[in-house]
Amino acid sequence: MKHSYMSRRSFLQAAGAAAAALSLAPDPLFRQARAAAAEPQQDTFYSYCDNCNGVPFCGLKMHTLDGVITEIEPWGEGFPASPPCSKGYSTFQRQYNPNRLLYPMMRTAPKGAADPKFMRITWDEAYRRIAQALKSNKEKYGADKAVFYVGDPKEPRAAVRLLSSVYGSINFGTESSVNCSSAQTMANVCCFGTQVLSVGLPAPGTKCCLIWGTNFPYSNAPSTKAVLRFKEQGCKFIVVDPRATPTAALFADVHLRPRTAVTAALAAGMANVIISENLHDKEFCEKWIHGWDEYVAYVKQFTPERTQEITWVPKEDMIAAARTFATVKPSMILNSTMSTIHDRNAVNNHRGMVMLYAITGQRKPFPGKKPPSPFPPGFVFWPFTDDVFTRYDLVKDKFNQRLDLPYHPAWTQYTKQVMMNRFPEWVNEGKCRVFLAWGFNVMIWSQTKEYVAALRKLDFSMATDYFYRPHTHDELDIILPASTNLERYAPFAIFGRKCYGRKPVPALGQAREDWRIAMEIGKAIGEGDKCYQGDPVAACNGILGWWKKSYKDLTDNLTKGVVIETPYPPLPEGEGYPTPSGKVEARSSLLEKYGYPPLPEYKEPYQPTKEYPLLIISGTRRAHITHSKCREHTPWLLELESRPYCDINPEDAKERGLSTGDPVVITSQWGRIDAFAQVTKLLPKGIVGMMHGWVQANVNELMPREYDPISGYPSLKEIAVQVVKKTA
Amino acid sequence: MRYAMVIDIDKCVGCHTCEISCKMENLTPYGDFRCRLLRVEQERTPYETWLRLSCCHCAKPSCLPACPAGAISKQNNGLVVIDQDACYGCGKCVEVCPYHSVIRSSGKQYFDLPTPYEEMAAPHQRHPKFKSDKCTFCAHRLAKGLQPRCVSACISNALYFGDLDDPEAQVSKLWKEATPILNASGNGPSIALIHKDNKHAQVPELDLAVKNAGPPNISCGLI
Repeated sequence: MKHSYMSRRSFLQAAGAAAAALSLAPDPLFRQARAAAAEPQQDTFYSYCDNCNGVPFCGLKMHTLDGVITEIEPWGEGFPASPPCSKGYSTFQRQYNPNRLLYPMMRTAPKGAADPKFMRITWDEAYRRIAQALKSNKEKYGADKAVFYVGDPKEPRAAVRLLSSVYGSINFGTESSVNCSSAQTMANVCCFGTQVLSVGLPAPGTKCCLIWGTNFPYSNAPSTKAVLRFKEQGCKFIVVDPRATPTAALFADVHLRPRTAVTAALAAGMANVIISENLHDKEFCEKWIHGWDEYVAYVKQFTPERTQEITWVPKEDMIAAARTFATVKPSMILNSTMSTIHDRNAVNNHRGMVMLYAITGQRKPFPGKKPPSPFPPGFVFWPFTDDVFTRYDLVKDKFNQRLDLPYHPAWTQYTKQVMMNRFPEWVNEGKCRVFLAWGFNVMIWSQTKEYVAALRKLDFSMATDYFYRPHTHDELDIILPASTNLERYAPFAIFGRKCYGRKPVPALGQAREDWRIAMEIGKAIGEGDKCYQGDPVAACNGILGWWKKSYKDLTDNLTKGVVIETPYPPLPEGEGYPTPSGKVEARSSLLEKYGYPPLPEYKEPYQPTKEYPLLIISGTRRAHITHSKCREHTPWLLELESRPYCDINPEDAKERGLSTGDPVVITSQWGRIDAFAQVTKLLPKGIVGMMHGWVQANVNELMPREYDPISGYPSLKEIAVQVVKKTA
Repeated sequence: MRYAMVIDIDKCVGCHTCEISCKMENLTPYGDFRCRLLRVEQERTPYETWLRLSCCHCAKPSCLPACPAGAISKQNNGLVVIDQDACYGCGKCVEVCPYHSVIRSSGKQYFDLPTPYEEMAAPHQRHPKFKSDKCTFCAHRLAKGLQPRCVSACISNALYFGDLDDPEAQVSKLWKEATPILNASGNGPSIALIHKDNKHAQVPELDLAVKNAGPPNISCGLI
């Protein structure tokens, strides 16, 4: 069995340009470097894996021989994000995949043609065309009609946001404003004014850890060893997950297996147990929770019996979990960044969970109403997307031009990332005419085909990528080769107050770092001064300069890192929370202002029906795949699971006469895909799971274009499907 | 000296890092896994256990007497070694290994074109087609005083490696409590499991999974 990658040869056929064939021939590329040196030259380079998210910045040390990487190791002792997992080691194979996109390419066939006929162009030509499209759009329709987007890798966010600002468009979005994790942060912000639940590690001294919907050995591998130490020290673990994950197997003292999309109900049921058994922190709740009485009245409706009926969790287990969480203190919640927010009740689900943390009184008021930050002053998460570096001042007067404002007004108050899910409507209504994307995969969207059709209608579009991906790129005008994680300087890594730089290997072909591409486009539209003349290191120096450091300091202390000592200004008087009421808000002032129900209410999700009897979880991650970009061009990983599998419980499989490997058809009210069955007890009876991002079985085609009204997050983990054996 | 490995199956999370770091270290051909993970569904619980499976460098290896070419030897340090120059690829060792951990090398490349790291492959990274191939406990790393790659790459400290003849080595201490993998083979494997705190793991089920593991040169992990 051979992989079905787009080989270089077939890409060129698609490109249909003989000239390109010559220019793309890889042969001289690697040999030149080697011919130059008589003795094998050894060297060492340092960078980070980007296969999860860029953060956690898992450190990679590369050994090279004559300029070719021959080995990847963990960064070294003392480095905070370590060790890398299979995804980190595999970046080595991706780096040298002969199918990498190494030259700027431009379509030569009209939009909609079966073959876009991509042809190689120079960088100057690419920038000239992009700048021309931006200029013409600004003159004819206005700068806000250009939308800037960063998918995955997330690393270029700061630089692209900067480009968007200097161009004058407020419409900048990311995959976090499609369906990643921002809705959970928004829930934290609605309650506490800041993120309080952990998505990484339990705090030191934690005695009970409620792990809700996350399987961190797969999604945050470097945490594994540290959480194992908590287990060894006797910390209690409650795991909430429909799936029987390794996290549940290894850690759970109590394992609750709810159906999907009922988080708000389960949280309310647990809160009801805690409050009715007087296990909450009464004094704190009465003094510091805004809307306390209403909240108590609300959760009272969630009796153990009703909670069991809604969530499928046996009430005894739910009660045991609630008691443990409220009495074995300090307890904390290690929450998922995804699984509890991918349905039409995204923010309220997560607010319900955050309230458990509130009512047990475990987050005391902040001195000066300011949450302490482990980071140096000025730093925000996502790294370096703060308003100063990204020149938000240039667009802040254009707030009313935000394209998501009519749809999700509360969201626009929470984040500067424009909610991207109404993209087809924007295009159809002429509100978006130019689309510049970094690391873009159209399969991120439910009902992908509607978005492909929208891309086709744009005046101009481009994307940067490591590879040519026909499913996404065939409707675009220009694709630009991005340097990989091993070839880039920016962004540098930051762990609390410690910063680390990179020593990247030289880029292959004409690949350029995505920060550089964004800032060179800035230069091409006449804003070079604001865009550090396109130099990523200069841009990093711009940030490090706030703390009287430079990139040279980082490279001079490459393996050990540099500590930033810049102090915070003194705190104002008083204590409280950075919310409108100054308290923890069970009744959210922000949501109330925009006409949403102010309490963290449960909303009934889709239910299984006779026609569609199984619930589906999309994006049930594998250990070796976080984003589909890991899979498509890294055969070492693809080999572990070479076909799209639908995980199905043995009982459900038996009813359908299915064995592992059988071809199946999955249908929903909204679509149909073909996959293969994998019979596994990982999923409980009644729920199936499917990994996202398979070109030949795009699970998002099954999903409706329905959204959480507050955040705009899509319904990816609540709908019902049918799975049947595929007959020839 | 006798090299051995202890696997704490309580700690293994099934992340595949051992398999992929082995791929990087040894550049085995497409489809060939020197080290692979078996997924074992427990009968009495909803959970899975993962088992890292490779050549067990047996005290009495089945492959050694089966080899008509005399290409397989047992070294003083416990390692079972295949001399690929002598091997003529008959596949007898592949058939007799109770651990299904000897591969008849596929010789297949991952890409249509060779990659620069394949062109610069070290001797231990070359895998002639149809010759027998298997885990060496990364002998080339042991020679430099390093641990096998899978051991040093493990993200959850589930793998222990060392010299059983050194009573101070952690692996020796753990070995006393450990159950040799598929002990019924009678081969005296140098890989054993510890599982005492694991309420879910069942050694007979793991042994059965090893017996039924099938050939090592197909996709394995999840399928």
